[in-house]
Amino acid sequence: MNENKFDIKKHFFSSLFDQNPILVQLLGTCPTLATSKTMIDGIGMGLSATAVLILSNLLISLLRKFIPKQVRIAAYIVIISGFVTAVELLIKAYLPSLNESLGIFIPLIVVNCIILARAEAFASKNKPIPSMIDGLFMGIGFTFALGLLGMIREFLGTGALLGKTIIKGYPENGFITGNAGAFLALGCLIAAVSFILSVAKNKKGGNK
Amino acid sequence: MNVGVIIGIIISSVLIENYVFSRFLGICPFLGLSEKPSTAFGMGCAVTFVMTLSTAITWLIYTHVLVPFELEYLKTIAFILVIASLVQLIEMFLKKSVPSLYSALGIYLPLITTNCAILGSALLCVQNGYNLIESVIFSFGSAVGWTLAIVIFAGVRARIVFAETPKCFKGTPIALVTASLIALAFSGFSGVELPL
Amino acid sequence: MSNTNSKNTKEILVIALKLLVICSIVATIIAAVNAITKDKIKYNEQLKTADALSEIYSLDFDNKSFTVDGEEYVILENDNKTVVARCSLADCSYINEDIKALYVLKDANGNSKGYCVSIEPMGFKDAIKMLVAVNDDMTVKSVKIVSMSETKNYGTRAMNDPTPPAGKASSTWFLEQFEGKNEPGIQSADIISGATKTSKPIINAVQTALNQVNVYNNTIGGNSK
Repeated sequence: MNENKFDIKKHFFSSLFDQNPILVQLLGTCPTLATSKTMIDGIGMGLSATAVLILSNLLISLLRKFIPKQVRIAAYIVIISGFVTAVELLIKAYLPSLNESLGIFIPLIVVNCIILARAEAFASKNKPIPSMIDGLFMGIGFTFALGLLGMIREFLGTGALLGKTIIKGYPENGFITGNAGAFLALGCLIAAVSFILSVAKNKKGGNK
Repeated sequence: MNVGVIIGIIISSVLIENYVFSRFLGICPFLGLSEKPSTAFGMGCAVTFVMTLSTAITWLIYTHVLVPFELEYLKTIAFILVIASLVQLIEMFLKKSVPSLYSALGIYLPLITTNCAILGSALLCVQNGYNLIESVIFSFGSAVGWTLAIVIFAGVRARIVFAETPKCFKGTPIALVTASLIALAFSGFSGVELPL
Repeated sequence: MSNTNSKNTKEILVIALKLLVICSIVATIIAAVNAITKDKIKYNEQLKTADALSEIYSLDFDNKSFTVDGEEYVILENDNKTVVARCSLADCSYINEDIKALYVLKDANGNSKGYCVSIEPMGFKDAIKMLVAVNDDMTVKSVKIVSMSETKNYGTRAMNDPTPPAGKASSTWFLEQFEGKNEPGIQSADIISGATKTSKPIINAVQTALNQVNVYNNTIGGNSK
């Protein structure tokens, strides 16, 4: 991997769309389904995971020549869980309402496959600043997908967005806000994204 | 501890609060690996073993090491290290003693470490204040529920492969839509009142 | 042969040492964050109890609210900070492991205004954090739930029942039924249909709280220790 040619713009758009951690790479589905009931919960989860992603990518990249290859997964887990604990404590102290709504999914950020995947695929092979940026962009992609899913579920389920009612008198829909709706919404969203991506690819191929 | 309570915990962890369809734990392997019911069952057994054992060990560490020293905030790290070490030990043990099982499970075995259901089970037992026996029963029941979910799903997916799905839905999206239908069925259990 | 063996041991040792360094770095970071956030986290928890206390007692004290003051909860009167009521932790051994604290409430003149027991019985899914306020005449003043995570539409009806059964006036009938009662009245309290595993522990907890206050009064004899 050519460390000098780090194309920030390309990286940003790929993290958001064609390499989106949830919608394309299908990583981190557990917290996605559980925390996308409302838009604000989804975004909160996304931002917490982004914080951990940036910090762990940074530390792992700084230590990338120091970590022994044979135990690198264990080392990554130690580092990631350290930052997850730190973020968990900060949320408990300064954002207690977010702590209530996310529950055990904050400590479960540790086993969020996205963070481990980025550590292995990027942070262990690149310099600190690009690694931080990669963490940021992947985190933004994650947050974007969570926000989108949360927006769809909250709007279709309760007619509200970010807690404010948009459609008055909207009958609250237990199906969409409930468990079954989570699976359905995510499935349709992934299908929609793969459809959009294939159309875009065909267009690109057609123009050539 | 009477039988009624034990049955109550098992029913609630297998059906009413199923890890996959109610709590959204352990979804990644659920989506990615459940193609054949027999593989799914094997995976489920491995997860059951790891989950029950790791919950017992993490409970002991939490109650007898973390709490007395007021180090509860270290539980995330401690638990995940226990789980990772346990999986590593089991992997080494299987490689030497039961190589056929080892090769059958393949890459799934190290992936058990990142199965959020296992860490989730350890955290839930501590959060709900269960004692050791309740924790073991709860995690065993939850793992059985997870195995149930993954086996059902594998069977359904084996049939879906032969169905005509729109191109963009092929693979994971249609799997998720199917999961939503199963989740709907399971949500019928939430009204079960356990007369304890 | 022995060369490779000692080389292997050296390798393992180096790996172990490196892991130890990594663990120490991470442990330091966490310890630092914990030191910063510890008090704020505890304060957030105490705020919930302060709010519940305010709901119970504010009418008695001109609608003022309780604030957190270390381990106690106080209502201040004016800029001179006359303490209107102070809920202090009672120094006693608790009769039941579900009881987390017994507060003794005194007003600015030192008159006893009652007791408050913080008790956390195990509900259907999780511990239910409750406050039971007891009057000086050993009847229940009020029962408040500080936090619970019971099943929606079943256990949560203990706090807010949208469809109260016949003969019950308000949606908060379940907790209100304890007000003014003492022992026999508590034991015959109505449960929420379909939510036995949430209702029964709450009823028993109210009883336990009452017993605790009794025990406290008998051992202390009304004098502060």
